[in-house]
Amino acid sequence: MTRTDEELVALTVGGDVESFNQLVVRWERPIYALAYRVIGREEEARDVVQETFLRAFRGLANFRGQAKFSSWIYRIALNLCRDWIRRERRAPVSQAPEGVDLAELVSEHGPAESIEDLVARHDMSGIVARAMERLPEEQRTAIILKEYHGMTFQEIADLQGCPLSTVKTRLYQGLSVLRRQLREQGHEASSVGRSR
Amino acid sequence: MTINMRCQDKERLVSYLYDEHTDAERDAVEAHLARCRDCSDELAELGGVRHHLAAWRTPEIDLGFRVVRESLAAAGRPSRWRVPAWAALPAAAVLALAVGAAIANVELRYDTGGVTIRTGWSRGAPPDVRPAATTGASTQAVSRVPRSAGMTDEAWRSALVDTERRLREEFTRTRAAAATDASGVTGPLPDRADLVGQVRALIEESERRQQRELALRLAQVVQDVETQRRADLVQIEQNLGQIEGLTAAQRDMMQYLVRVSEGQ
Repeated sequence: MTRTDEELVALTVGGDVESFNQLVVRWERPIYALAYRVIGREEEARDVVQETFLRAFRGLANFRGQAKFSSWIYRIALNLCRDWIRRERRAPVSQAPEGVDLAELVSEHGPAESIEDLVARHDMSGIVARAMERLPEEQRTAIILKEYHGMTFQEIADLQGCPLSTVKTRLYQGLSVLRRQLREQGHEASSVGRSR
Repeated sequence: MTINMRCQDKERLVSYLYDEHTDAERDAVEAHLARCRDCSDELAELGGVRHHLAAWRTPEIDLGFRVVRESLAAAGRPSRWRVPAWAALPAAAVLALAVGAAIANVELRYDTGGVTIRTGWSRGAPPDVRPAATTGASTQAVSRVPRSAGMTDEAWRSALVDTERRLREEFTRTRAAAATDASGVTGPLPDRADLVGQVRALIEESERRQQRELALRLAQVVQDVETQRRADLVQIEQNLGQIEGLTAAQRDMMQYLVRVSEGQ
């Protein structure tokens, strides 16, 4: 039986460390993806993940369930990312993901996608990463939370501590800048229309 | 309630783009898009950007973070801290002394009789190992006088006297046996006093040689320690230079690593 996050939290508070490890397994990859995209560095993102769960574990007794566990842990991770960016006083540096290779992509996507498409997708990954790193932190984070973590406007507003309308504005401005950058690099934003 | 959307109303466009709107908002946006080519094109292009964003992948790495109980972690965790160079200095000196002692086979002993320094080349067989050719009598002669705990000085002195007496008796018997054996040998017997004198001279020469060798070995040990000390000092200076050369980012990272390690 799969327990909910909140059930696992309660078990952990009761002394069952293994329950917390289940939470770690459940959330470590999304938190890593968030940290990696926000700060753009593999090792630092890994550190953020470790520190996030350490802080969560230590502060679990104070977690009263006023928010979802996922929201709480995302907030910890985002604060750590923000601290890192401010400490470094610079924009993230995009690194080409080392763990991605064409063979892996082929195995994931199967024969339905041609090699040319896979290569193009791989190249586009780096292009998007470099374009994203130029965005202001708030816009970049809003886009990441929306596009890769499927959060609602309200959830993003809660995490970023801003009005809901501000989230929409950040998304619009960020997407518009990306559209311009992609166009400048010869990657026309194809008319895909509304997508979800 | 009817909503009239304008071109400047980008928040509604974003809501529509992400399909997160009320029915009234959706109707308003679709009505506007039907008559505004610019907004319609913009929506399509923003959708295209989202399509490109989907290509951004993250590295596939093994994270494997786990929380373990402290007692288990402490038991299975190897020491993560290296000995700093400054702490290694006395360790190096001790090591050099140990190595030197091993080379010289120096034995340092401190007991009620004071401090005794012996070297391996002056040491005989271990006390409990008796030479195979030794007869029972001689074995008895070299047997040690045990001094058990609580033994009084008077008893100790008595034991020594007894041992001396037995040694003298043994020596007398040995001399008599040697004279008997030598009676069958042709040629003149050497003068006993002269022989004893030669043996004594040999022993003294041997002792002087041992003392010289001991002094040389100890000097070598001291030199080794000094060499190691100088090398450690150079290493310390290099490490300090490296630490001073660290950037603020590296210092932050080191502090972070220490903090994380302390927390584990």
